[in-house]
Amino acid sequence: MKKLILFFMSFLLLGIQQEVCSKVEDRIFYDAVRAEASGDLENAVNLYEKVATGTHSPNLHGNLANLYFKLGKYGQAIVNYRQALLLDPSNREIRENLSFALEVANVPKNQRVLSNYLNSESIDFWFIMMAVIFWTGSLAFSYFYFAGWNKQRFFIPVSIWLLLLSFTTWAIYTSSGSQSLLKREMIAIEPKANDQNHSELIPLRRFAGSGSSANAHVKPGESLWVHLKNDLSIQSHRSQAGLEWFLVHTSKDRKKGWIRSDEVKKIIP
Amino acid sequence: MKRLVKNQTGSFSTKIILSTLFLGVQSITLGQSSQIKIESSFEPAAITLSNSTVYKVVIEGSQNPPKGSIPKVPGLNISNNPQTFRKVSLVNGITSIKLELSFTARASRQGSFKMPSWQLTIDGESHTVPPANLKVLAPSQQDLLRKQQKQKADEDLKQAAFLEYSMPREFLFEGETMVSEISLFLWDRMPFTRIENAPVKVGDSFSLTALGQPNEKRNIIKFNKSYSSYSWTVGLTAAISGKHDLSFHSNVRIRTNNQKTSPFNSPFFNDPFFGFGREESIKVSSKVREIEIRPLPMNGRPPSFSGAIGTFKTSSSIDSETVSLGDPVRLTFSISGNGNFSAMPAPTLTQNNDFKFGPPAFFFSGNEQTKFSGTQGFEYIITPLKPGLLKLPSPNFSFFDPIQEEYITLRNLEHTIRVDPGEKWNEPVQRIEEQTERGQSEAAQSTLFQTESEPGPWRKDFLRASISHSFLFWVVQTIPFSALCLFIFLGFKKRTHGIESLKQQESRMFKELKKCHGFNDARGFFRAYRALIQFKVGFYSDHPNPFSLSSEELIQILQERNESPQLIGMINSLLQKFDDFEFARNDESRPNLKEEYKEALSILKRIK
Repeated sequence: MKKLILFFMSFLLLGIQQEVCSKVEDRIFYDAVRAEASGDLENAVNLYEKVATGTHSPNLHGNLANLYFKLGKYGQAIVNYRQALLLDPSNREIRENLSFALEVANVPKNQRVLSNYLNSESIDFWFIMMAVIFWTGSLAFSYFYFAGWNKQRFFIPVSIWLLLLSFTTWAIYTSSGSQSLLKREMIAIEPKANDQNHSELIPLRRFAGSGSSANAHVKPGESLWVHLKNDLSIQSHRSQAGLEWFLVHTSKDRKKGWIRSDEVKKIIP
Repeated sequence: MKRLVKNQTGSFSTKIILSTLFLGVQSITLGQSSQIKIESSFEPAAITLSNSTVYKVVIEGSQNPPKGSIPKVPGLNISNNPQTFRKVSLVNGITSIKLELSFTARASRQGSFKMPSWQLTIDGESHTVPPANLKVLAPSQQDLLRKQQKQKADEDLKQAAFLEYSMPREFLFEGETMVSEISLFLWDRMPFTRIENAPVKVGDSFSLTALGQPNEKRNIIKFNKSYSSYSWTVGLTAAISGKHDLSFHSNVRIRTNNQKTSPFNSPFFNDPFFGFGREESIKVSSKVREIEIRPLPMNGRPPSFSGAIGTFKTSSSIDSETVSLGDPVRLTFSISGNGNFSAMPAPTLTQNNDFKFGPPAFFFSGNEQTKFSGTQGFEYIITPLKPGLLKLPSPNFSFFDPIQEEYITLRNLEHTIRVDPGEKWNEPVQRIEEQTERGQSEAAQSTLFQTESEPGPWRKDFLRASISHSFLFWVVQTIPFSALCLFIFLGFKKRTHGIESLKQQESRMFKELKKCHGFNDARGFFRAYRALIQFKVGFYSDHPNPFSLSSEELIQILQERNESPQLIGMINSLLQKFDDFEFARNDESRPNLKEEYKEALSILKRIK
């Protein structure tokens, strides 16, 4: 009996803590909205970022992205739009904002990002579809088989059924690949290294070191993917100064090189 | 010989002429270089006060222009514009050259005047002009009368036609424009025919806008006289600081009688109707006013001040808040109020790297005559050079308020424009798709970048756990799986149930066969045997109703199944026996059932 009471008490405490935490996040969010309305954009950004360290919501990242866009930080804006879309894939306004931000930042649109049907969010849909098709077909064919259907009459329905199953399997495989890519995806934010030309481009270096020459350059807001080692771990390097470097490439491996960890931001931290 | 003498005589005379000319030229040259004598005198040397005289300076020996200045004698006004007269004469073979300078002189008082000797520079050499004396006598009676008549005529003329100009203030600031009115009053009883020219400004320290058509008024009473007035409204701008004189003059045409000595001086010819009277031009002048022009204060002068003086308000607008990259934006900056619009340059915009600025276009709406009150617009063509939300530079406008006597700077609202990056070339097929998307996105662009006031649902992670990792998902899968299992079970059960029934049927028929054999019931035996053959053949050939098969059909099926001819023959003979017994009813041919039974069993075993 005591154990039962203890269990219910701990359950209750967990619920209360969650409620209190969500109220704190709401309060900071409203403070940020007020700061933004009063024109204090820097403060509003800081407040939104403070909330975003612990928890996420589509409107939080959408507002943050809007602010970054107004401040001309297109890289940060695009990261937050992408995060907002992950949380609410059907939000048309965020999708439009992202599309416009990509245009303004002069960054090519990534078809994998904007495709609705085979992206990382659709994997559950394809799982359910496959289950529905598999069980519907199995049940129907077993019924008709034992009902005494001629075997020749099964050929066309079974072929269609197998075709649909193959398609859903391929869709799951593709969505799973997109999800894997998404977990490795980073957005170029802004150059951190001292550049006498004050270039806005971010260098992809030949070696993991600030002294290395650039192999190629990417624009803020451009998507990058981290290379994987043979054991499927991320290919990174930590310099003696403690700075972490990633070996990244752009879409279709057009550009490749090492980038500082503070010059990029992962979409899924 | 004569011809020779003639020729010699001719050559001699030619020589004389040439030598004379040579001497003449030489003497002129020598004369010019000879000693210069200068004389001076007043001609006449005695005058009355109302008359003028000529101060004459004669220079002998040179005609080159002299240099020097006439000394000033109190009470004696000598003009600065002399008449010059050059003279060359040949007297007794000597060439004489003279230069006469005549200065008009007028005395302002009676008495004796002495022009002192003064220096003249001729050909770089200084020469002394001797003194000269002038005696000015008291005016005669005739002079006095003439003077009085002239004064009266002048005063009459001043009252018959005069110019007035009015200004709101007695002083102006340097560069300030002020609206003034210049009025020409003409006495109604004077036979004026026309105004020859509009009033002309006298005073270089002021500039005046163009005079248009005057505003005419009748029956204005001044000095107990009735006048017609012609008024011009002008913008008067002060140019140079200091105290400066300003006056105006104009010319009017007036009809006068002919001279008394003229043959046309008769009432008939002077009749205005016939128009034989003559016209005269008379000059009408205004009083000379001394106007103070104050310099603008240096204290508190803003950097954006560019000479605007007056009282102004400003406004600015843009023609579009959303443009594509490279498309120009029209920024209109308007200044309205009263002031020196004609001397106002366009306010400058703060240059930056985000925009390219074109030269501004000017337009003015208001009083074009004076350009004092109205609205001055400046239209700037600004081309954005990068996409994004950009702030347009706003022109700062400063002016000097002459009433408050201080500088005022007006700041305008900053305009923000959104610059789209512009369209890119795409393949036509993609373009159609893009147009569809763009149509949707354009509809949604009005809602871009709106701040959400509610946070929405909070989540800890960006990605939801996959449904494949969900326990519920796999639990749900057990439902169709169970249904499938049930289907298979029931199906097999149903199928095995059919087979069982067939086996039971076959067993039942075998029992019947055995029973008939035991009772020696040939009819029953043959029927059971036939039914067994029909059942077996029909079952193995999947016939839907095997008991309806005739003997021929059974044989045909067995042949189609490629059974051995021996078996087919045995079955055929046995079936024939059954048919004979069944339909012939011959008791004598009762078969031996014991043998038949054995044969039947062996046949049935061979049918598979």
